Amino acid sequence: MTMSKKHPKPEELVAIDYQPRRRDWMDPHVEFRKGTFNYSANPKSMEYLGLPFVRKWQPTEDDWKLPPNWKEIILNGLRERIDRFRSLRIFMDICVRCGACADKCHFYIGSGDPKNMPVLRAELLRSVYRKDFTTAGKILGKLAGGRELTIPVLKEWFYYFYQCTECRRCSVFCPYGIDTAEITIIGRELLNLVGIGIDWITTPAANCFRTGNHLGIQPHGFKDSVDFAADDLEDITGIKVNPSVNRKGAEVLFVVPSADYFGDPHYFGFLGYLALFHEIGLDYTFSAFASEGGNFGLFHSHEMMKRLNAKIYAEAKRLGVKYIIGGECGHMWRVLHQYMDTMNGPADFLEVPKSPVTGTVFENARSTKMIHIAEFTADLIKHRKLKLDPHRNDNHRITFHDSCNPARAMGLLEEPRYILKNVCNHFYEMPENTIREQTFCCGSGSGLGTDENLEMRLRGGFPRANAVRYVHENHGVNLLVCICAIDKATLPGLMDFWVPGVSVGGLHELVGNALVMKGEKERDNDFRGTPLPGKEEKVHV
Amino acid sequence: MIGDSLLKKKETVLDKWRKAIIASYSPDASLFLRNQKNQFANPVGFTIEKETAEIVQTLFDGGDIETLAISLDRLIRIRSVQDFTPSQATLFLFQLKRIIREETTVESAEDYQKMAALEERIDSLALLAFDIYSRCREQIYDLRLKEIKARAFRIMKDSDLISLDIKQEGNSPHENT
Ligand code: SF4
Ligand code: SF4
Repeated sequence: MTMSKKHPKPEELVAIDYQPRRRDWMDPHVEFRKGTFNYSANPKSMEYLGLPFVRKWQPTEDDWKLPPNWKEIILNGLRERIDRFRSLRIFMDICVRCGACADKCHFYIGSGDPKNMPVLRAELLRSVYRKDFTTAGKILGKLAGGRELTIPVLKEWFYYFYQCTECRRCSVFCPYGIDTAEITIIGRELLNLVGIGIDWITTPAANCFRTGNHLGIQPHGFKDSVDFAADDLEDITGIKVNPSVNRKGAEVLFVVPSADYFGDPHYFGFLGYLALFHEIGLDYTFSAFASEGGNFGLFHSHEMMKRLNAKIYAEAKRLGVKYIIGGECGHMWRVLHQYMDTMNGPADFLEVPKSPVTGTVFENARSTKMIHIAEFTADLIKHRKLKLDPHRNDNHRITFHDSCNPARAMGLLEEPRYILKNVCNHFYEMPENTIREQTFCCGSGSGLGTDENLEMRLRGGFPRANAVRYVHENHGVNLLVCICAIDKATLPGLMDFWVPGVSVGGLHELVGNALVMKGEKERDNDFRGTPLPGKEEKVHV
Repeated sequence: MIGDSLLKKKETVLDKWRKAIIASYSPDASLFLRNQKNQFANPVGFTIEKETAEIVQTLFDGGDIETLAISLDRLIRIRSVQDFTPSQATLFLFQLKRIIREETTVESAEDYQKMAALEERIDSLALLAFDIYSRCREQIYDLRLKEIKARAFRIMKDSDLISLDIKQEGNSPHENT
């Protein structure tokens, strides 16, 4: 026996699979390591939604207890979708594998796992399409890039379609506009046909279907939350606001993501909305049934998205409002902007949104009849309708994270920046290739923002955090502002891990801090209860 | 201060070390990790490039290795959330030792002493690396809890708001199986 065999070098000891083999991308292989995948859907929630093949299973188990004809179900499902969505067939056929998208995905950048290259993520589905739906593939199989749909392939779909946040960054760089997010959406739909889904999407969707919001809060609970916030706001500003719930005949229905009235730091932005609407005397109401703007149906299937979205127009109709304003949320806007009109519209019982304060008509919302609160507020500021004291936000050195959906799906790029520049004095942009259309995802969108896959999210969020670190180190940035409920829930952890010293806040939290309200008491604290600049001593006495 | 012969090899050592680190990723990713120089487009590759330079510089200059805690943290933090075991995540320091040994010829007792001193410094870095790695992992567990609490920030104050039949249970395999 040689010495080296007796005493392996550290590298030999550790390197058993240290240097990964170059695997053929066609070779399906995944390892469900703790921290990198999501738990399966709770059978109770599946039952509630009437989903097929309800059963107990987990990704780590060998046997996923698939129905015997699972393959047929999926292939039929794929065939149906290829016929139904012209875009899908085009995306399947036209990719020339130029590689322009390859290094643009945050999961690939953060992990170095080649199957996180958008082109290969899409290839997971495309290879099966090729094998079964193209003549060349049927005859040549593997030679033509076709792959048989097998259980390992299915497991690979699950692993990688739940490692895509449907953020669409890759599509910005594709010369053909191929949208890998759409492919992921279809991939997940197909998996759901055989009862493979994740709990962080299915249970919120079930709650939403039952109570109108992801958390399962019932109408009286919703009303309590709104009243609670009004009391908190009174403590801070001395002003009693009277938000209404389910009030018929109001001019505006206001819809927010449920995290706004429950989560930290979302809640402080909710106080900001209440302050703002009170100050301008907006005639608005909440609905205790459309008490969720977010729509986890988008991450499940087209059908589920439609079911969960229907309540918004239904409530607008029941309450007899003229139009709808929506709060700070990401994917909610993707659904509203891209799908709602065709899915549950036309909303011809509503009017084109017109600001009662400035008279501005929001022509861009002519068909959906729903506007983003950032558009609404920016218009108020532009017409000098708000008295703002940006010094109240002087404790913050701010940067802005473009949330993927408002930025890429609806082009809401200028309004939030315009508002920020009016409500604070210290604003610094992150580097160009990480903002606006090229913004890096938080790594937790599309229903992946739960705790069991935190490790994967920290990987995927690294490119975002890395850009924040740059402005933190170079400009002393200490607050990352965003307009998405998922961002607000997941960026704080991302910052703690990668860029300690940066907290996360919402746009309307800063608006609320800066807003000078008629008859308000002298404010000592901001909405978080932290002393305002110059008030520190007084509070500490 | 290390001997002149090794000092001349600094760039070679650095280059070999970086290659060894990059080899821990899939061969399909190594071109990207090495060649994309934009620090925002390729933060992992950039961090490897920058921090390895920092470490080799300090080691060869005889600088205080405690100043390397930040560089080590940057490298290990990334590896602590990628698909590496603890030993795989920290192996790169042992690889540095090997590379330096391969690049040097020890010709005198003085050389030998200098080499031993350098290796000892790398060993200290390796110990530091283990601490950093486990701190990162602990932090991940803390963050999980912190997020869950923040999500229900208001529920903490008002616990009867949620109806009980479908709470977000089942979100762990134990309750679910
Ligand atoms: S950029 Fe478009 S065409 Fe090129 S590989 Fe990616 S998806 Fe295919
Ligand atoms: S949509 Fe986003 S997460 Fe999905 S492949 Fe493209 S860049 Fe990656």
